Amino acid sequence: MPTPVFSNPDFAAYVTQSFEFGRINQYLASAGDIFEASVSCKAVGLGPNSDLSRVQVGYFDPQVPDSSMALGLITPARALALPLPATPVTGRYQPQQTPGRILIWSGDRYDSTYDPSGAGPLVFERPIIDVVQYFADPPESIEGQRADKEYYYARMPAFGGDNSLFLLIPFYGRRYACCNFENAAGVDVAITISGLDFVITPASFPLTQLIAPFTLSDGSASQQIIRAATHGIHDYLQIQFNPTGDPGPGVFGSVRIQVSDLVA
Amino acid sequence: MAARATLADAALGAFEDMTVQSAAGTLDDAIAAFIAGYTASFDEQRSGDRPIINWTAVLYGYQAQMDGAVNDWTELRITADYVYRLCFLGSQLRSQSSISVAQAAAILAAYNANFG
Repeated sequence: MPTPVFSNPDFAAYVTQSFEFGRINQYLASAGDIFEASVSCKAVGLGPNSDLSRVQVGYFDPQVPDSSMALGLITPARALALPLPATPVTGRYQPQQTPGRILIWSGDRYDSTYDPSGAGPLVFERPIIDVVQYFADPPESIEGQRADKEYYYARMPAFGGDNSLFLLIPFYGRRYACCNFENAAGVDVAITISGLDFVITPASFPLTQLIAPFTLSDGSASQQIIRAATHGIHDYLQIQFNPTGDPGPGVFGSVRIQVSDLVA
Repeated sequence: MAARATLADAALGAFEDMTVQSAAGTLDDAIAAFIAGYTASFDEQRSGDRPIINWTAVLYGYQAQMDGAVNDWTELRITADYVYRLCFLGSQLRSQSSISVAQAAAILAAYNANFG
């Protein structure tokens, strides 16, 4: 996929084109992506495609002391179903005197440069931020689970020598994952499933082992289930495939990961 | 703390670095000086600059509410998160040429002068 680039949707164009909503629906380029909207709206909520589970919204409120900026956190279970003013002309954030646009940014952390593989193969599924700004009355279904997602790879990339293959799947706030593996590498492969949490540190990010490492024999399959109640909530699933010998230029086999907000 | 070499390094070092000012009770002053150090390089009228200006509004707005108490972990947690995001955004905007080398350097220099 192309490297994600930060860009800001033109919310005013949505209005002039008579859309009843505007939408940010794109890959997050960095943890600092901050979006602005210069048009007022009736509500803001997460869209179904969002991998992020927490999004911050800032809007102009002159009653907030010192800053005139009120904040609201939206999650799959809680939208901001309030008429939010955008006041780029009449209201200004203090003390900088910045026009009072609605500001939207990720409440989850992320590091696009994270690479646990060193020089080895890496499949890094980038997180999508999906936020809907409603210009008309929002539907009753504005709050609810995000859409379930499936990540399916019929032929995972070859791993040369005895390098491990790493697979990174967004898991922000998810409650459930079903992981299916089929080994066709020609050698046995050890698999480790960990929960990765991005934190603000120059050191390495914490990894929590969710499933004890297991060896998948060549030609066999395995299913692993992850539940938040048992394994906790993490930003990403990190799955490491470590061949027990040199599989040559082959492929691992098939991998199917399904993630959900529902507790199964 | 040692100076951070890149904006991405500064982003990931923000919490560790800002702990020093928090322990000294000077975090609010350091944030104000950090903002003052780079804002002249950014113009509200340039669309490429606006994301940095928007982060500055968030950070400056919170700074205005701080009382600068020693080891106020809530203030440190929130402001380190904002600086983390501002620095990562600066790195991203520079990588896609939305801001200039000089603008990115101004943010990093202000960071290192006040938190590094």
